[in-house]
Amino acid sequence: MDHQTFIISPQIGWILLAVLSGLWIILGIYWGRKAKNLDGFMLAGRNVGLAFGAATAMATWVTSNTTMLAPQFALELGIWGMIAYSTASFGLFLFAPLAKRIKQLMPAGYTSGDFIRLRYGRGTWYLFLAISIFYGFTWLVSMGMAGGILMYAISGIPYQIGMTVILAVCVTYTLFGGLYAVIGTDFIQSLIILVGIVIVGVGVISMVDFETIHTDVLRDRPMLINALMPAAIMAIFNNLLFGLGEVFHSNVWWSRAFAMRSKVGQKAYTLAGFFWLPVPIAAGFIALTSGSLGLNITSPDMVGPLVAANVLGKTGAIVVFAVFFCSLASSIDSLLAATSDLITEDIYRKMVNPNAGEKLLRKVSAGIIIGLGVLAWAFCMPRIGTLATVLFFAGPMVGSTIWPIATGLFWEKANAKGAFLGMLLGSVIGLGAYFYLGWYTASLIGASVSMITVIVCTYAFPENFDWKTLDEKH
Amino acid sequence: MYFSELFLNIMISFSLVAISASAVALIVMVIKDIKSKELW
Repeated sequence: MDHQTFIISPQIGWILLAVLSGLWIILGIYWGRKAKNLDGFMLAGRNVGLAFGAATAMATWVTSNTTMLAPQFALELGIWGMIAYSTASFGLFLFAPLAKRIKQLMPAGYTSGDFIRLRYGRGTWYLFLAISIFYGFTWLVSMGMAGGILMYAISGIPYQIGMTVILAVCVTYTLFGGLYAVIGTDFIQSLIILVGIVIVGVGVISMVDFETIHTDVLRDRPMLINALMPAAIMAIFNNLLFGLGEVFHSNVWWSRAFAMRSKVGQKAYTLAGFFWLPVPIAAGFIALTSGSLGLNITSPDMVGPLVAANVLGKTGAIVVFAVFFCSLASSIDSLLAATSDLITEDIYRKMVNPNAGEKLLRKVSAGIIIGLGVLAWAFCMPRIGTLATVLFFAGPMVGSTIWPIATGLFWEKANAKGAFLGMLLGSVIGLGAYFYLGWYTASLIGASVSMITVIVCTYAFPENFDWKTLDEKH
Repeated sequence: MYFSELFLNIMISFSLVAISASAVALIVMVIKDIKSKELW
C-alpha cells in the first residue's frame, strides 16, 4: 500500500468513525423504541410510508459493492462496465409489482421463506433457505471486508480494527431497534450517500474535464470505450440477472415489502430504482480519471476511494469516508435484520419451536443478530480474494431463484418440481460456468437453466394452486 | 468531438443531475409523509 493513499490521519479517521458510529447507535435506539412487539421489531409495524420505503430500498441497494465495484467495473470493463452495474436497478424496478402482489397475497407474512414453504412445500423450502442464507452471509462478509479495506485505504486504520468497529456498530443498533432502526437510519444514510456522490463527482469533473479523460483513456486503454467489448456486454446481462436474483429472493427486500403500508410497496420500489440507476455511473466514472491523475492502482476495488481522496484532498476525504460508512451501514444493518428474521421465522419458529411466544422469538432474533455479526467478523478477519470474487460466487445461485419466485407469485400452474429443479440445476450448472467460463457468465447461465426448467415443468406437471394458502395465520 | 466522448459527457452529467434530484425528492417526500402522518 502506497503511503500517500492515507489521505487523512488515523486520528481524524478515528474521530469520524466515533461520530458516525455514535450517531447511528443513538438514532437506532431512538427509533427502535417504537418496536413494542414482534411485528414492530421484525417489520417496523407493517406501516412504513413512501419516503422511508423508497429511501430504505435505495440505500440498501447502494452497498459498499456499488461504491467500490462500480469504479472497478469502469476500470476493467470501461463505459459498458458502469452501465452493466446500473442494470442492477432493474431488480428494484421489476420487484415493484412483486411487492404489491406479496402484500396482497401474504398480509401477515414475515419472510421470503414463508412464501416458498407455503407455495412449494418443504423440499424446495430447504433448498431455498440454503441458497438465501448462504447469499445473505456472503454479502455480509463482503461488506465487512469492504469496511476494513476502506478504513485502511482512507485513514490507515488497521483492516481488522475498522472491520470490527463497523460490524459492531451495525449489530448494536439493529439489536436495539430492529427494522425501525434500520429503516430510520437508512433514510439519513441515503441522503448522505446521494449528496456525497454528487460532491465527489462534481469535484472530479472540476479537476479533470471530459476531453482529458477521453483522450487519456483512448490513448492508454482504448478497450474501455469500445462499444463492442465482449466481456462488458456479457457483464450487462450477467449483472442484470444477478441483480434480479438478489432482489427477488432475498428476505432483505421481502421484509420491506411486508413492512410497507398497503399501496406503498410498488411506488417505493419503482422510485428506489430511479434513485439508484445513476449511482453506479456517478460513482464509477471517477475510475476512468485514474490515468489522467497519474495514480498507481494496486488493488482495483480501491480505485474509487483513491481517486476521490486524491482529487478532493482532506475535506473531500471526509465526505468519501462518510459516504462509504453510510453505504456499508445501510446494507449491513438490513442484512443482519433480514437474515435474522429468516432464521428466526423459518428455522426456529417453523422447524425447532412452533409454540414459541413473541418474547422468546424476540430474544432468539437478538441472539441471531449477535451470532451473525460474530460469524461474519470471524470470516472477515483474513481478507479473502477481491470483493468481486466473493460476491459473484453467489450469482448463479440467486439467479436460479428468479423464475421460481416470479412464477410462484403469478402463475397458479407453477409447481414444486419446477421450482426445486430450477434452483438446483440453475445453481449447479451456473457454478460450473463460474469456474470454467468466467464469473460474468455465471448468473446468466444459472438463470437461463432455471427458466427453461421452470417453464418445462409448469407445462409438464401443471398445478392448480389456491392463492388463499399463502395467507397464513400465526 | 468523438461520439464516445459526447456519450460519456452526457451520461455522467445526467447521472449527477439525477442524483441531486433524487436527494431533493426524498426530502420533499418525507415532509409530505410527516404532514399527512404517514411516515410509518
